[in-house]
Amino acid sequence: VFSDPFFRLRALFRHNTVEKEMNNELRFHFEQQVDKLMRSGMSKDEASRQARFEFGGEDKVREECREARGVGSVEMLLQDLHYGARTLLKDPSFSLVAVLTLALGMGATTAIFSVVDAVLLHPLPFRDSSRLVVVWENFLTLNHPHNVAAPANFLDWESQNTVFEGMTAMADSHANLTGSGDPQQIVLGNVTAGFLSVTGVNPILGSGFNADNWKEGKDDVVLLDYGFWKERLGGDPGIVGKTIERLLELEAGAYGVAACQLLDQRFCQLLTLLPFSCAYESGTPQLGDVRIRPGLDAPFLRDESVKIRRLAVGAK
Amino acid sequence: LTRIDLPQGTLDLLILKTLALSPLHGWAISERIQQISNEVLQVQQGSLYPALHRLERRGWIKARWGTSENNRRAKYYELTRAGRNQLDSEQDSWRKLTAAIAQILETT
Repeated sequence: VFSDPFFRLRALFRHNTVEKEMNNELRFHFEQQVDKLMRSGMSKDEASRQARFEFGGEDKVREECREARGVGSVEMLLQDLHYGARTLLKDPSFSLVAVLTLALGMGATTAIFSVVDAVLLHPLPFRDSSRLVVVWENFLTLNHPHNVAAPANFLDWESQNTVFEGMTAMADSHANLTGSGDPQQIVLGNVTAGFLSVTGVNPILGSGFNADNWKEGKDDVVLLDYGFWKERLGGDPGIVGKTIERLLELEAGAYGVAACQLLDQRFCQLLTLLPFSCAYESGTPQLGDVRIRPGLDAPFLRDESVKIRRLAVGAK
Repeated sequence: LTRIDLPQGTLDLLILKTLALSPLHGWAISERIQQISNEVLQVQQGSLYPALHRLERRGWIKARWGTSENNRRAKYYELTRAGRNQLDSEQDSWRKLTAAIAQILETT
């Protein structure tokens, strides 16, 4: 049972010995045959020629013996590696180019794959993300069909919505976080109250936003991103209801933060979720893209949104 | 005298049978096969050695360096226990095969 691996290992690691043995064996055979033929009356030359003829191609026989030992392919691989190493050592500039080529190739492949992985392979971290669409304003005078929606327009869309299961708006802004620990600039996602139900994001702690938060003065709640909760707040399980830090909104001044709630891990891009306050309605149009979950097909959707946009424009 | 080349696959059987009598080196194996077959069977001498190495790898024969009749170092092969079993079963199937073929040839 063990003879085969043993035999092959010996053939591999005692390569020179095994080759020498084979050569001795073949030479012995050849000489025996020459002797025999000479005894039958041939001259030495004649006998050699005859013996060689009877034996067949010697190199071919050697090769077949190596194959029979069952290490032909491994030996060939070792020879190739040996040859490759020598070539690289002999010509350092060639080696350098080869290494650089490999490095660039790997780097580019990795980079491209990272993008493809994030953009194409991983779906958005929302429930039924294929049914989420973005609705834009069509800014006719500037011929800019993908304009962000003004808050007032969005509110009109939402109140007159007949085609979507739900609508929500989101803008992002930056804020400086001070208080305990190092000051840190963080990204805020500013969303409307419907955000959680439209995207299917569920807090793992706390109850999420409710309709009450959608009123002025009651919107001092945030949802913490899972990673932020772990890193900045040590994953405090009793965080809900506490005031965490002082949030300085870059433009809007101080912002009190309370009633902390947690999002699950999938929702990593946004650090905090601020309910889109009604007070924004009269402000500058800082609202970002509008995420909408459709119940209908695209052409009809377009008609509906056009209608709503006209209504909204007409109302102004 | 016409010599017949060995049919495919029979060389192993003949080697095992030849070695069942006594350990031999490669040249002697080819000589012995020719002698016993009354010079009818022609062993292609080159093909003998890959076959020997293959049989050794399978553990049916094992090799040992010894001294030849004319006082030279030679590689001697002998049958192992596994080789003896293999010989028995190959002999058996060879007999069945030739009997079956003979029967067919005689009836038609």
